[in-house]
Amino acid sequence: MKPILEVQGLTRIHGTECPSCLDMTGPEHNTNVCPACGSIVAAANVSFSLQPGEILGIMGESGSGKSTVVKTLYFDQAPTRGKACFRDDTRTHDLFELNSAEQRWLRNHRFGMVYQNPNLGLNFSISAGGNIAERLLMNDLNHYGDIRRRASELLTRTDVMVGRMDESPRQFSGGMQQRVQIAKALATRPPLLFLDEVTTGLDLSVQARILDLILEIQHELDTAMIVVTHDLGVIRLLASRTLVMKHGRVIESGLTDQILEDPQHAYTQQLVASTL
Amino acid sequence: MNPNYKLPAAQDSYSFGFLDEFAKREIRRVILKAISIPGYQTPYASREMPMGRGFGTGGLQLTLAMIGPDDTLKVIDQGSDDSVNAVNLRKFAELTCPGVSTTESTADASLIQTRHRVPETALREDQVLNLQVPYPDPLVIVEPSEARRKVMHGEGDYARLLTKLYEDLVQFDEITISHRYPTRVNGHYVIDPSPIPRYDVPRLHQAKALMLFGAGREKKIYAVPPYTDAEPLVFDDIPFRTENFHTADGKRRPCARCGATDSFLDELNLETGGKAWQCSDTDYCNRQLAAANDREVTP
Amino acid sequence: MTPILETPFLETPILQITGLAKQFSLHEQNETVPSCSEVALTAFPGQLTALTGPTGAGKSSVLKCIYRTYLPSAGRMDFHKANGTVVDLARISEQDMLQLRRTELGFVTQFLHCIPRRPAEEVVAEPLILRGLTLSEAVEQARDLLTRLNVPERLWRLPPATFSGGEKQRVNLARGLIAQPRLLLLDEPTASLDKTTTARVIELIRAFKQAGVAMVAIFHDPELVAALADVEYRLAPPQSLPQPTPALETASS
Repeated sequence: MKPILEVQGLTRIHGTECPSCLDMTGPEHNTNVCPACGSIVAAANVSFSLQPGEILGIMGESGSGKSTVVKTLYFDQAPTRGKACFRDDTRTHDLFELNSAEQRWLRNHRFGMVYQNPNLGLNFSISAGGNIAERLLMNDLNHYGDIRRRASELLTRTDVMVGRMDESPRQFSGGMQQRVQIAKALATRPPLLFLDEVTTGLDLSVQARILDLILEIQHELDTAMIVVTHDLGVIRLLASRTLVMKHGRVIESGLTDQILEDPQHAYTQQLVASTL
Repeated sequence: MNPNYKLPAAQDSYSFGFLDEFAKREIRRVILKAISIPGYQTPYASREMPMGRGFGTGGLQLTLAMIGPDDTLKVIDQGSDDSVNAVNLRKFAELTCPGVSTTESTADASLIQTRHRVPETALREDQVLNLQVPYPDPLVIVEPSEARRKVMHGEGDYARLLTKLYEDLVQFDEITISHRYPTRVNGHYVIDPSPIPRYDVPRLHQAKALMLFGAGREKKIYAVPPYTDAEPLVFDDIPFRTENFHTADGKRRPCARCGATDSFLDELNLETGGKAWQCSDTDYCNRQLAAANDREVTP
Repeated sequence: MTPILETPFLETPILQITGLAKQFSLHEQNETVPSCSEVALTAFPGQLTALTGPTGAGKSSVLKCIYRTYLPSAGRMDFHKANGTVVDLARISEQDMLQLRRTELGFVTQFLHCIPRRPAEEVVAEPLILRGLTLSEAVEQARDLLTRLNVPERLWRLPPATFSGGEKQRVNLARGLIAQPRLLLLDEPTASLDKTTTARVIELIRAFKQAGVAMVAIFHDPELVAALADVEYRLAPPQSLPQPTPALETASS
């Protein structure tokens, strides 16, 4: 089976990069700020591949660069350098070589994103159904009745009361906002879904139900996912393989049960020891 | 600029059409570009005119850049030739364009400048309609950044505009946009057709006349060239609806003055407290009235 | 370490382990802890290979190394796949290991690690769903196996989190057994079971042997070893490696 996504040497540096940026930052220097020029090395030389239908975890504390990785892949940010190839039924897309229209097409048709902050993923000035409608309209579905039907199906699937479909998500609870975001992301049945700290800040019981929903969706639609989180529990539940990041670098990667039971890097050992 | 180009000697202190020849050439070039890319908001160097922005300076600059001594000009404001705005603009053209004749008749005009209406009388291939535009960009309601709007137009990305229509349908069971209905030109760019009512939007579609849109304050010119598609943005299953002027029992109201049942009507509050409906296009109304009188006289 | 029971094997082995060692490098404590060393064993289809030895000899570590839950520190683990090729489990890619886990390798531990809040029958059915069966087909087989393992029907629709230790263990067994892997790793699968259920498990294991499944198992009860094992390997307490080089790194260099 060919991977759906292959990422090589993905690097994102904020600031006027200098030659020592990569040499003087990272876990061994305990910083991601270059002491020579003050640039921030958000992610450096991140490489991995993802199989269709697979869930990959990216774990790390805030500032480790884990969100940067998904944000560049979803074209929210441009990488400083690196290569990423996405494969769909028809062809391979060299993500960072595409023009903005092609990137937008992939974002709307092939990718889905669920942000930690619902503000980023949802438009609060329109209804929950409208948020889903927008994504369907981007996919050239132009039939009002069909849009209504599809939106209510999606909201039902993600356990949002259809009766509240025409309300602004501003009035929803945090958990429900995430459900609307998930419904929106799934509207186009994307083969690749990015989940950026989707359960952070939610009540434990709400977290659990969202994670169940994500797993069910993965089973039903065979969606490949990249799950970014600082929560070992989320990783354990969702991911078959995991990357551990610190100060912009991938310090360790492996099967999730191996990362949790036999962590190799000092930082991962500390992380696992402090949580279990 | 062609180094051999010479300005014509000024006859008075003003050049013909108030604008200097450089300005007129620039506007004409922009008009050609706008025609070449139907619906594209072409930027131009909108000049200061001796009247405030918002009084039709965009439409006027189009008119003055195109007009020649053998042209016949009609100026309309809300369908009427004798409202203050229309009268002032017509007088300005008479003053600064020696030899130009003006008319109130749609059929007799070669050049028509208008605000808020497209004439009822069908336009011909030898006529040009200049519409005054306050806000040229239909995307401004969904995207505040002009840089991003430009990208959206370039990519034909109007999903958020359609989402606005979706929200209207959800909230009010119908699309509530009465004027400035977003209209897709030649299958790509969506334009703000200026504050014409929905009633007039179908008149842009495959029109015989050239339709030009000038926004003076926003410094944009765009065009719906003759025989070009202009389709209101709608959902596949919800047809575009225009004002129907039906009474409560479903009958089409006639014009109180001329009796026409095929024109856009203005609603008037009578001093007696009641309401009356009357043609908004005065030229059309007068013509209908004259024809009716003729019929009465002839037999 | 020597095999205690010898039986003549005519078939090709499914798994051959040589020189396997595992030690943990604890960075915080700046210490190296050996977990197992110099392990060599061979497992055959239709046979149960028992690992025995004192506590701390690293019996569980061996199973976890085979399954890649632990990264082996040294050694080879040649696995004969169904398609006839031989791969070293210490060196195959993560993707290949995930693929093997879906199709040929099974692991039943003492503890149930599963998705919480999911009905027991679906927990058991999951390995079949991963292989492409529909939910209803998979659940049907799961119910059948749960019946054979004496799990009362009233529990099938409930999530196992609330079950007693023995009930959980049976669900866990069912989940490990349902996909009928070619090589099944069993880590004290009967640890908290009553006599009746243990007898059922013994029956099942015998049926598996009949079906040609190879098993590497740890039993807390010597009687079970005597009853079920075709071959027994007694592990000695582990020694530190002179120069620790993770097997994976050796492979890539």
